[in-house]
Amino acid sequence: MLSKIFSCAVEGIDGYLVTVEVDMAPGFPVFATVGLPDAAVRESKERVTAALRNSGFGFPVRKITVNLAPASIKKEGAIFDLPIALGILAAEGALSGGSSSLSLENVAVIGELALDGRLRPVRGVLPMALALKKRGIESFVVPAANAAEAALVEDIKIIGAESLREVAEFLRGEKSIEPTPRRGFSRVAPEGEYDIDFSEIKGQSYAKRAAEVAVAGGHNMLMIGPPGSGKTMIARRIAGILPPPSYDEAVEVTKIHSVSGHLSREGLIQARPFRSPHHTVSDAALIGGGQNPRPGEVSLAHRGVLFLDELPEFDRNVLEAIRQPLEDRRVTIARAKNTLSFPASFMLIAAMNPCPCGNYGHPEKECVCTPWSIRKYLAKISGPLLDRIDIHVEVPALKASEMPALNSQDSSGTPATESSSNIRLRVERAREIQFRRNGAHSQTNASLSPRGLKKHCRLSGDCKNLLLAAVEKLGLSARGCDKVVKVARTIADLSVSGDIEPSHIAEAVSYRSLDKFVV
Amino acid sequence: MKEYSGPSQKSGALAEEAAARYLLALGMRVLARNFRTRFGELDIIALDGGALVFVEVKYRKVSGFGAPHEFVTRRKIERMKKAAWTYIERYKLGDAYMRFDVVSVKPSGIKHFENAFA
Repeated sequence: MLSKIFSCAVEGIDGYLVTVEVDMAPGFPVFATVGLPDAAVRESKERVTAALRNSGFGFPVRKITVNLAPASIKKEGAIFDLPIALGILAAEGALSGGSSSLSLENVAVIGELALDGRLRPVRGVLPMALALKKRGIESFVVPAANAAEAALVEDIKIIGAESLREVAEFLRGEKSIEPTPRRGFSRVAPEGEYDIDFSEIKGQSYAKRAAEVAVAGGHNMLMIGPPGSGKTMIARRIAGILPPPSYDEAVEVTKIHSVSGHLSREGLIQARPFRSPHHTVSDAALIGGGQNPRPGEVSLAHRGVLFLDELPEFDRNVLEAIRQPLEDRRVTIARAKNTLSFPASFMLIAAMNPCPCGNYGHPEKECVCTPWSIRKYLAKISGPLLDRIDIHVEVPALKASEMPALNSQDSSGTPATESSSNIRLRVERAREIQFRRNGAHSQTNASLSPRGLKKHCRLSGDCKNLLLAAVEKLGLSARGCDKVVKVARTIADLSVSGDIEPSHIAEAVSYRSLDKFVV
Repeated sequence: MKEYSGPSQKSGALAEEAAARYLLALGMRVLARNFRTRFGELDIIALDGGALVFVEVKYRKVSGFGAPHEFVTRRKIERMKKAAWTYIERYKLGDAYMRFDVVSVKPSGIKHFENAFA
């Protein structure tokens, strides 16, 4: 007997339909899996055998051939356990017979089996559901733990099941399982989700303003300053002032995290991601890679923030690798077996010391580094990389009088610092203006196309003169000059100004201090 | 293969005899006993309804070192499969239903493992 069950697999971040064919014939009792299975797929034989027995079905003594079509794409993981087990049952005729049994033509199933027949969650259910919907499949049976995630897709019934037995009863029409309802999406900022707040940072108003501008326009930012001056504190608080993502953005982000297996049971990711890989990260982990390429940190930070602390400590090849995604907003990973492309539209926040000892430029402490070692340290950050960072900001050491621990007693006298929620309101307003003006394609000023730049960032004569002087003085590249204009546009948006004023240009130019500093 | 006929061979033959009687009592037909091939020997080949059954008989007097059926090693399984293929080829039985059983014989009784290798 032959049976056919629909299932799904993921390549890159897109799903594709897989047909699991099971043939059972008399003859020498062997179990063969064909269709480019990897080790985990081949091992499913043992899990399927045990799960069938322990679910009270028994395992047939037959010559069993399982084919995973299309046979040309490498299949990986344990996700085909459930379709294979059901295929065996269907080939035995154990799935039909019920009065109202479902037509297997309209159902797709996915799931890893435990030896006792329970279903374990799998990765990438969201992109699978999207692909199946496109192919016109009506119902998608998934492990219960994945149901909320799959249910983000409309127009396909998501059936969350706990065990093989339950799925078999469902397909026979003996048991009905209610489709998982789609959870509503509310575009509200999560209140009090972050337990850290910008109001905790005393002083550093210049750096905080720069952070606000960076987030408002999606600009990349580099903070430079001695140890303990608050660079990392600022970076960590940036997550709290990010505007909430739109539904489409949230789905994009969830798709990537679904494929890499980082999702909780919640389903949709409703906050922008904030990724801060340690500086020992490898280029493959940052960019994405592996034999069957997986998204890396730059893609996991899609629509959010990638924070690189201690920037010069990263391997040079790792830093150079992010240049291309910074520009293209996606990464293309080519391996011998296939070439895949992942979205990587992130905002880069980096922090570094001015020299190895950290005290270079400190008003009181002395720097003990040799000029040569400083050069070597700073040379880790290449010119091309620096050129792609729109906002450079110095975060100087705090003076004794500004230190929060010394100030806490008479806090009534010092002006209260702004809270994250206040800043976020301004950021959201500025983003709203950008979205309405720039259109859906380049939502933030940072991702404006050259044409969009020309159209939306007209400069008055005064502005042009000021910019010309800055370009000459700082030796800005063409790209650097464009970035200054984009940042100026964001500053104008923050102050709800239709035109870019000379003061906006001046502030934007002040954020390019490092073009002179690092040589 | 060299012929032995020590005490072990004798008790082994007795165990196979007991196993064959046991299978007959279950309603199987014994088609062949001690079917020898270059890969090894199939102790009993029987017909259970429509299914061809290749049976390995294991005997232990004492079970202090483990039950008899635990001595069917991976290598033995491979050899049995090859031997079974030889039988299938000779009698052109490739389309039959078939399975491998193990019958474990101890002085205290007989245990039967159907489809033991799946």
